[in-house]
Amino acid sequence: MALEMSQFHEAFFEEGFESLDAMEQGLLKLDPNAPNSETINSVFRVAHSLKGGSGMFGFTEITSFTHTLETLLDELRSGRKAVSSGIVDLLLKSTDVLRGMLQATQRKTPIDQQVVADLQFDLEQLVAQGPSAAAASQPAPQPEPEPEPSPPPAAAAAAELKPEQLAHPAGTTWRIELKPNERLLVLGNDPQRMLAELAELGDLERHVDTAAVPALADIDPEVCYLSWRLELNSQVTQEVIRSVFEWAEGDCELLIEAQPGSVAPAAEPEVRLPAAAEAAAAVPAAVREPPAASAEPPGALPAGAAPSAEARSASPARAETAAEPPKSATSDSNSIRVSIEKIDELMNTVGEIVITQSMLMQFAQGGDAASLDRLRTGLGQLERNVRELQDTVMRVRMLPISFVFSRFPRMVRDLAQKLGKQIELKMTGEQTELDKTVLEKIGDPLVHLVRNSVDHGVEAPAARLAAGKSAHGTVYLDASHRGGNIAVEVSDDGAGLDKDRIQAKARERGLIGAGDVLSDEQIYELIFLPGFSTAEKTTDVSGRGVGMDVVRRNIKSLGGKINISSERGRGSRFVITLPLTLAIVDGQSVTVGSESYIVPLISIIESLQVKPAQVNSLSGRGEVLSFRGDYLPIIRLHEVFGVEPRTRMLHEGLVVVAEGDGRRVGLFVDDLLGQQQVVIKSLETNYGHVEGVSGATILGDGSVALILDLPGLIRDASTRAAA
Amino acid sequence: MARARKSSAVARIPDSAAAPAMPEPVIDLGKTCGIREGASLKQQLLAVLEAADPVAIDPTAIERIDTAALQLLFAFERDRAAAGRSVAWRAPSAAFAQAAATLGLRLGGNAAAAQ
Repeated sequence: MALEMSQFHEAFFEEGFESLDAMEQGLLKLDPNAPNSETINSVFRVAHSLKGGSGMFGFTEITSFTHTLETLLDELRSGRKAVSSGIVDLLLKSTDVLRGMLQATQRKTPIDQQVVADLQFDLEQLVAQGPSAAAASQPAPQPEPEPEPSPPPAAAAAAELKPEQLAHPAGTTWRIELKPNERLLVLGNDPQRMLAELAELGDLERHVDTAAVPALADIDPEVCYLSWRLELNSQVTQEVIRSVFEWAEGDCELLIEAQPGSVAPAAEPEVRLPAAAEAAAAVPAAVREPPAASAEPPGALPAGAAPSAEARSASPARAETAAEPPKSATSDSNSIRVSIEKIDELMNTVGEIVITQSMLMQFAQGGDAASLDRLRTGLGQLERNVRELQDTVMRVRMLPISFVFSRFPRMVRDLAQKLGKQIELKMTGEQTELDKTVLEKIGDPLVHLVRNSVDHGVEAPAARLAAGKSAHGTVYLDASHRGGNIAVEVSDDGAGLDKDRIQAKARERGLIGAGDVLSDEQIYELIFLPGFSTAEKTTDVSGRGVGMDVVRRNIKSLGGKINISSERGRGSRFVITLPLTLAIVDGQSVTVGSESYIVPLISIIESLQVKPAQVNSLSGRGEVLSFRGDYLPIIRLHEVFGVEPRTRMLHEGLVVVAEGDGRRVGLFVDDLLGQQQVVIKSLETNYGHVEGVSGATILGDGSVALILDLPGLIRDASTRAAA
Repeated sequence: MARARKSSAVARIPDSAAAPAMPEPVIDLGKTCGIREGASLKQQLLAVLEAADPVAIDPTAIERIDTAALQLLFAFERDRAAAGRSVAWRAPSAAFAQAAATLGLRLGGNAAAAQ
C-alpha cells in the first residue's frame, strides 16, 4: 500500500537532529574509566530509534549506518567490549556523519558516501575485533549477562523496579503471544532482543511456532515468519513486560495476559482480583491486543474484554507510530512544536491590542466624570490583562539557552584535544530562557569567546603547573537573569589578558600614543578594535575570521553589551548582557515638530537643556556640545528627517545624549514625552530600509513613530559631516 | 587513502561444492550473520539444498547472528530433513547457541537448543 510518508519526513528529521544532539551529549558524559550503563543505553536507544525511523522511510544509507553503530553500541552495552576514549571518539564522529546524512537526505542532496563508508568500515572493524581486553576477562560464552554490568533498557528498568512496579511477590504467570509482522526485522527490531530481555524478568518458557516458515526457496530473508508463545513467571507488572516491546509497537501482534489461576498483579489491589482473573480467562486466546490497548493491567476489565477491530492487526496507521522514537530517547520536556510564523502572528495581534487599549485610554481622557471613571477602571484592567498576555506570548518564544550551550562540550573537548590542553567545561544556568531570535544570534559570538578562552586563555598543562596551578584548566559558561536582561558569562582560570602586550601592540599599530596612560578598561577595550590580535600566530582554532570586533558588533546589534574583566595569571571573564527580547523595546518618546520618535532607553545616557555657551560651531563639522569635558557632535533630528521643528534654537529645545557603537552624540529634539514599552514593527517588511531607523511602532493615538537606530544615525551623521 | 569496503563476514563456499571428489561442502557463517547477509546466505544455502549428504554448516566463529539468519538455517535444515537429507553442524560458538536458545529454535539437533 502506498502510504503517503513524506508528510512524516520533517518530523523524522527534526526528531533525528534532536536525537543526535542527545546522543552527543550522552557520549560526552561517557567516562571511559567509569562508563555509566544508563548513558550507554540512552545512546543505544537513540541509534536504535534512528535506525527504525530511517528504515520506515526507506532511507537505507542511514539505516545501514545506524545498524553498524547499533551493533557496536550493543557490544558496549552488554559489556562484551569495554568503552575506551577511542571508541567514544569514533562514536562522536558517527554523530557528525549521521547529522550530515540526515541533512543531505533532508535537502535531497547526495550523501558523502566516502566519509560514511570510511567510518562504517572503522566501526565494523571495531565490532569485528571481538571482545576488548578489559571485557575479555569475563567468560566469553556468558550468555545474556546478568543485569550487571550494563543491562539492556528493559532489563535496566527491571533492575530499578520500584515497589509499585512489582506485582505479587509470589509472581504471576504471564502468557505472551508475539507474532511479528513482515516489517519487524527490516525496522531493526530483532525478537532475540525482546526474548532475551523477557528472560531477565523471570522464568521464561518459550515455544516457537515455525509452521509459517515457507520452504527455503520461498523465504524472503528480511521477513520474520516465526512467532512465539511464551510463559513468563515474574513479579513484574504488565507495564514492565510491555516496555520490552516498546520499539516493536505497531510492528507485531502482541498479547500479554495473566494466566488464569496464577496470582494477578497487584496494580489494583482491590477486591476485583478474582474478576480480573475471570476477565483474563474470558478473553479468547485468539484475540490479540495491540500493545497500546494493553496498557491497563487486566484488573481494568474493558481493555481485555473489548479489543477493537482496528486494534487486531498492525494497521499502517499504527506503523507510523513506530517512526517516532520513544519519548525517553529524545527529551522529557512537555513541549509542542509551534512554527515561528504562528507565534509572530500571535505577537502581532497582541501588539494590536496594546494599540487599541492605548487608543481607548485616550478617549477616556475627556468627557463626563462618573462614566469616565468606570471606563478608566475597565481600561486599567484591560491594560493589566494585555500585559499578561504579552508576557505569556513572549515566553512562548523563549527557549532555554541550553540550545546554544549544548554545542560547547563537544567543541571544547575537540579543541582541547587538538591543542593538547586539559580543559574542563563547567556550565551553569542552562535553563535560563531567552528569546529565540536573540538565542540564534548569540551563538556565534559565544563560540568565539569560548574558543578564545580555550585557545588563548587556558594555558598548556606544563605552563599551568609551572604557574602553580593544576594542569586541568576550567572554562565556565554561565547564564542568568539580571533584571530585565540576560547575562551570559564566559570565563576561564587561565593566564588572563596581558595588558602590557595589548598596550604594546596598540602602540605599535599607532592606536594609542606612546605616552598615553590607559585604565584597565580602556586597555581591554582595545581588543575590540577590528583586526586587533596579540596572538603570535593565528591557529586554525582562533584564526577563523571572526574577531572580537565582530563579536561586539553582533552583541550590539542585539541591543546588548559586553564587559571584560581579567586578572593576570588568574583568568578572564567576559560578560555579555542582552535584552530578553527583540520584539519589544523600552523607549523614550521624543517630539520634533508634529512627529514623535522613539529613542531606545538602552542608548540614552541623559537628557538636558543646553545653554548657548555649551555649544560651539566647527566650520564644516557642524555643532558640538561641550558635555562633561567632552565634545559631542549634535544631530538635529529635524534636519535628519526633514520635519519642521517647534524651535531651531538649541537652548529652547532639549538635547538627548545617546550612545551608539561606542560613540556619543547629542540628539536635538523639541521635547520629551514619556517612557514606554513599544512593540517593534519592521520597517523593512512594511516599507523599506531607512538609515538611522531600526523600526517603527504605532502609538496610542494611531500615529506611527519611528524607532531610532543610534549606530545608524551616527554613521549617517558622520558621512553627512564629511560630505 | 582509499579503503576497500570490507565485505561483511559472509561465507564463501569452498570450490569443493562443485567437485565431487572433494570433502563435504561447508558453509562457513563467519563472525557476523544477519539480515544484511540474508540474501547471500539464502543463495548459498539454496545452492547446496539438494546436495547429497553431507553438507556442513560451520557456526564456529559466529559472534552475532540474528533472527533472520537463524530462520534461514532453520528452513534449510527442515527442508533437507524433509527430503531425507541431513546437515552436519560444526561445533557452534557460544553466541550461536545462545541466539538459537533465546528464540527457542532447535538447530543442529540438540546442540543449539540447550539452554
